[in-house]
Amino acid sequence: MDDALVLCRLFHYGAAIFLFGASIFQWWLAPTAVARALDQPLRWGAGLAIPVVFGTALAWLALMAGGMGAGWRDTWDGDTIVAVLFDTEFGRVWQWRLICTVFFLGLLATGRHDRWPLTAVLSALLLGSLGFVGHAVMQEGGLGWVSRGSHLLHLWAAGFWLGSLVPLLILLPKLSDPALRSAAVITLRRFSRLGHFAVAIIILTGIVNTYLVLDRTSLSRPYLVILIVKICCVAAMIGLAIVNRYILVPRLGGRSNAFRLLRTATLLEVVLGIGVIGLVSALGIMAPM
Amino acid sequence: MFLIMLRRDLQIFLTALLLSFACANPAFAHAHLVSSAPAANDMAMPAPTELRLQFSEGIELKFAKVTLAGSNKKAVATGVVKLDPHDDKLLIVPLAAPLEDGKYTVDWEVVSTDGHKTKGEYSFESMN
Repeated sequence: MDDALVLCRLFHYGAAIFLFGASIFQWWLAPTAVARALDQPLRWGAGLAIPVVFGTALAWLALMAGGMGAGWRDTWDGDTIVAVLFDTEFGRVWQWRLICTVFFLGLLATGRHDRWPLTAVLSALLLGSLGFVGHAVMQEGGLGWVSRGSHLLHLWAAGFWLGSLVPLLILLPKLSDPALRSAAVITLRRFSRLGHFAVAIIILTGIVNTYLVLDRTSLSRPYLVILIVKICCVAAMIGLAIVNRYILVPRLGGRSNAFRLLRTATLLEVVLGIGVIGLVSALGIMAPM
Repeated sequence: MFLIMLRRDLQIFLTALLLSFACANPAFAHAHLVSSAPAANDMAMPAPTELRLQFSEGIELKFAKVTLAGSNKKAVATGVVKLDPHDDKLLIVPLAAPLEDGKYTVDWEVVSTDGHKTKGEYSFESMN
């Protein structure tokens, strides 16, 4: 059951992050020409991600009911699910998250899931509210709210960065299209600007979270190992981002193979990002101490 | 602007990169039993009228189960489990009737507010 929950979390995080990153990219970063060029594939992606977000939100609730109750048979036990939904801290957050996913389904059903500002707001709520369940809520009082706020920002910043790597990857080949080139360069520039903020927030909130953790007793070894691997993956991603931004992008105009390297590095970032989401999915169900 | 920011940004990034190695995810405990009254392996005198279980984390009352068994493994009737109104980490189990002399085992199973289940048991002796 734990494995099922890890998988469920992986898909839920992944889909929510894609929806958030892609919609912010289309809404804030892409000039009209680029947005038009990316609309088709991203619309298709969102059409896939919305049912995934909805299905995994339900499955997550069912698996929590099983975990809090008596195992698999409680995953579809009405009373247990109602008790989880209305009598636990997790459930009180989940009610709102389920309502968000239903709105998402409504957007999809009416074909409006490419109204990117709407998608951005809904996915921001979905993603951010993950900072209000799980280990994030284990601090009490004022510190508890610092922890939740720090999580919210961490999720948004990481969600933006990871999620917009997908539209970025679709955009890169269009740099060679003369009709799109200037708009694509503007997009890259805006992405870089916002990306700096995102990475800074990821690191700052990470430090805040560490501070809160170090406040408590020592961590268990398996938890610590996965945590360190996760931090190394993030560090590698930041390294790649620095190489992309400060070494490869400035050379794009020349005859070097910078363009091919940039695509490879971005693809590698996406792979590492998926790995990080997987590790986070596992960390969330492990006993830290 | 774009290029002027370059060197300073790079510096910030490298510092941040180092710091991020020290970074961690939020990591707090699943609920563990910190203490209890009567305490584990203790001799309770006079006999207790309630069991108090202090945990390391907030507890979801709806999913808290505490059972008390006598030395003959027979379950002893208890009142409805409740949380201390001022402390969501403190479970209180009122006892329906005064305990007779003997050894008792407490089996507990709780879900902390982060949604994880933990369980354990301890025993104590009661004497009037």
